[in-house]
Amino acid sequence: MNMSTTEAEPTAELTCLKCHSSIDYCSFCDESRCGVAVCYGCLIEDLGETVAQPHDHGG
Amino acid sequence: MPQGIDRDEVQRLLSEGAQLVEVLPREEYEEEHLPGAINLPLRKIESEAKTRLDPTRPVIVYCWDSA
Amino acid sequence: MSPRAAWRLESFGFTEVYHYEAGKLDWIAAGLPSEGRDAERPRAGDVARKDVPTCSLDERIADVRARVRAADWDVCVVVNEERIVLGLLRHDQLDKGEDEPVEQVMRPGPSTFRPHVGIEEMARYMIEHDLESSPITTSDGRLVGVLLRTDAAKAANKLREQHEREHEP
Repeated sequence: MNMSTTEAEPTAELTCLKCHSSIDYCSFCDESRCGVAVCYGCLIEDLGETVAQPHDHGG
Repeated sequence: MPQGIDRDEVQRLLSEGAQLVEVLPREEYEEEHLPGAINLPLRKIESEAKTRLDPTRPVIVYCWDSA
Repeated sequence: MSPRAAWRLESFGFTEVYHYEAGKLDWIAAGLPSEGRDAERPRAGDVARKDVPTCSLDERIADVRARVRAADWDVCVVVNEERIVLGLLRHDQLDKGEDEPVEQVMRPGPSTFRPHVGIEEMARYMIEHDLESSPITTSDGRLVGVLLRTDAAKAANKLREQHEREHEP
């Protein structure tokens, strides 16, 4: 897989690498020609997991 | 009625000597908690609140988020 | 859970009981200090450079460029008087223009990251995306600092080595 952020075709539709949804630009690097683009939802999910989530506690 | 407060108000009350109580289970408390907070999971409040908290000082309770 | 705890305390006779509605997540996400086993885990906010140069929207780009380069930096964060991040000047933008205001050449609305994000994840993303710097802000948009890829990678490597040492047979 090409990991370059700039080699995607400019006319090609950008899609999130994780969920394949269509996006205008990568939510991590803000580039519209990102080879490893990620959408906002997937990025938040990925980075959000770095705070320990609470275990089930029956709130 | 308990009053809902935000982060700024928490900091202000702490500087005035308020007590902080995390009501999440012990395991989560041990992972990470606010500075100086004591752990009183909901079920322990019944038996321990009166001995571990000073009723003359303000008390701030919190859990993970607003959910 | 905590509203019920607050009500219960009141029923015991505690007269001044408050409920921190946004809770622990809000506190950690704001980059405020914490205690406990995970509190020492390096995060983006710990490694971010707090001395990153800043400028305002209406400054002349040539003046900003001179100031930033003199301080040996290659990035500048555009902030308002409340230190809310409005834009970013990376290498390419810093090289552009003379008399234009910063507002005309900056990258507007850059992606920003919270201080609580783990340094390993940030390093991985920055390397994958070939991104040299990322602004770190509190949840209300205030600048904490700028995370440099080199710093993030170094901190992540150190953490990995430490982890490996701890788990050596």
